[in-house]
Amino acid sequence: MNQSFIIGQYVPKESPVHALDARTKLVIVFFYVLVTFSAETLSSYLILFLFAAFGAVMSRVHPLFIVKGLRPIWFIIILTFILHLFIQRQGEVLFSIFGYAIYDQAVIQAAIISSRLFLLILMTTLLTLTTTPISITDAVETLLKPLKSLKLPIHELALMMSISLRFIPTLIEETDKISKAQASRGIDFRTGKWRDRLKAIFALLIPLFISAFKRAEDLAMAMEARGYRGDYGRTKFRELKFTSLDLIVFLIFIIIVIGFFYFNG
Amino acid sequence: MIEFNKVSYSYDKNSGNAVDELSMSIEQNEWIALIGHNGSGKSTLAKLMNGLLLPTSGTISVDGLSLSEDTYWEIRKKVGMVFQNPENQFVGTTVMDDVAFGLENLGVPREEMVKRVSAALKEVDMYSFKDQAPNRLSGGQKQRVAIAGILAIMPEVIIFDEASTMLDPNGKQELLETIKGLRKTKKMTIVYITHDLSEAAYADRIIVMNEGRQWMSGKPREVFQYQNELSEIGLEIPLISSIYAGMNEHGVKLEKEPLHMKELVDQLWKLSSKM
Repeated sequence: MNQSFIIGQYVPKESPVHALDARTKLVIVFFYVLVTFSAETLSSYLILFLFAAFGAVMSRVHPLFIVKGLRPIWFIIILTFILHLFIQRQGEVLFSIFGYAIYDQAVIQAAIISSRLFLLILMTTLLTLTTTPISITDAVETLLKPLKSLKLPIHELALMMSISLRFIPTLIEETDKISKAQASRGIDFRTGKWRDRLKAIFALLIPLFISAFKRAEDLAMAMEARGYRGDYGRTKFRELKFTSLDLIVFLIFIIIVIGFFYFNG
Repeated sequence: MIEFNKVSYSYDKNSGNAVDELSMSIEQNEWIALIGHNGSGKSTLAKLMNGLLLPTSGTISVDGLSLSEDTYWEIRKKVGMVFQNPENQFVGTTVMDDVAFGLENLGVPREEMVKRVSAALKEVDMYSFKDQAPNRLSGGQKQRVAIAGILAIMPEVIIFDEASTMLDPNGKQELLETIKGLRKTKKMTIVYITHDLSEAAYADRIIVMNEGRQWMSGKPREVFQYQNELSEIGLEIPLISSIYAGMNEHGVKLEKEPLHMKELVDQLWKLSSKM
């Protein structure tokens, strides 16, 4: 495969946001999302927006990347806005379009809901733009570690995630090869009725699945040969480092949250 | 180093034995080439050596430790294995992560791991690729990373289970050079499984497997003399050996049987200067 392939949308940069511990980012995004759902006043939204904008600027990621990350959900944001505009029937009538009354409460509600959506996506995009998928996996594993005492297979889940990440490019390459091989045998993926095209997809999926199973078998054998025995007595090579930078960011975030609840009434 | 005593193994009760009452021993620091056609039991033999399979009957001991359900974790520390498909044995998302995988499994402390990973990568000359993702590497490079992953565990034996089969000629050469390099710097027993006799020529000793049994064992030179017998059990003699045999038949005598292209060429030059 020639073109560079980056899993997810990680943009490598040297910035304070990139340098943060993945756990810090994950926890902050989690609580940010929670807090956003309880936001009601304009000033509380402003605070949340300022925090996200601050993060975006500090990440040194080109704004275009962020806009690109948001692209799939612009439609949803606008749709929610319009729906709320028409469905809400409270407050005073502001004006009417084609004889359909728009209420002032509806405008406010529509603005609130769509900015909520916008902020949520902005923060999660920021997380994936500045953190490698593998660090996110590691962070999830360490953060969920307490659940191990409930016999939940946290280590296995994390390993599954990291192996999937590792094999995504391999499987993409394989898909490419198989589709070319099948096309050379006369299977048409691109034209014809959707039903025929759906059938053609099977000619791609079946070999792909068979080879994926073969790979899984080989991989399991190789892992065992290298002494893999589950979580038993295992140490970790990749390290998550909690630095003073993380502490500072947490403090800023706590201040933001306190400020938020103060203005939120 | 590795002792087999009347070892049998069958995958299925109804079918025959894949390995049949095999007794043999591999000495420390020896480079063994294990050859045989498909289904001769050579890969089964490899999997028996590090406890991926346990024998149906007979006993196997590695470095004095007898293989059983209680000891195979210990034995896997002593016997590392490089498999056929370079892609499917790469566990980590980067070269470094992959080399560390075996160490993580053994519970090696992190500081120690960092040292051993770098040392192992330097050993196979892949240190400059340490942050690369596997899809950026060639087959030969991936196999070298696999070797590094095993070296990091510091085993006594490395088994190459048809590790060169899926590589292009350059990759094969890369792999053989790496093994030769290792033999210079380290004491290490090598078991090299292949059906390519020209690769087997580099070994100290060749063991020929047929129908689950040891069919022949000896120095490459000795084994290659049995051309017709080897072809009968489905093994293709290297070109160099057949040139030597052909010349012999026509009465042109070389000093000794050449094993590699260079030896052959040197001897041909000598011969032509005498004429």
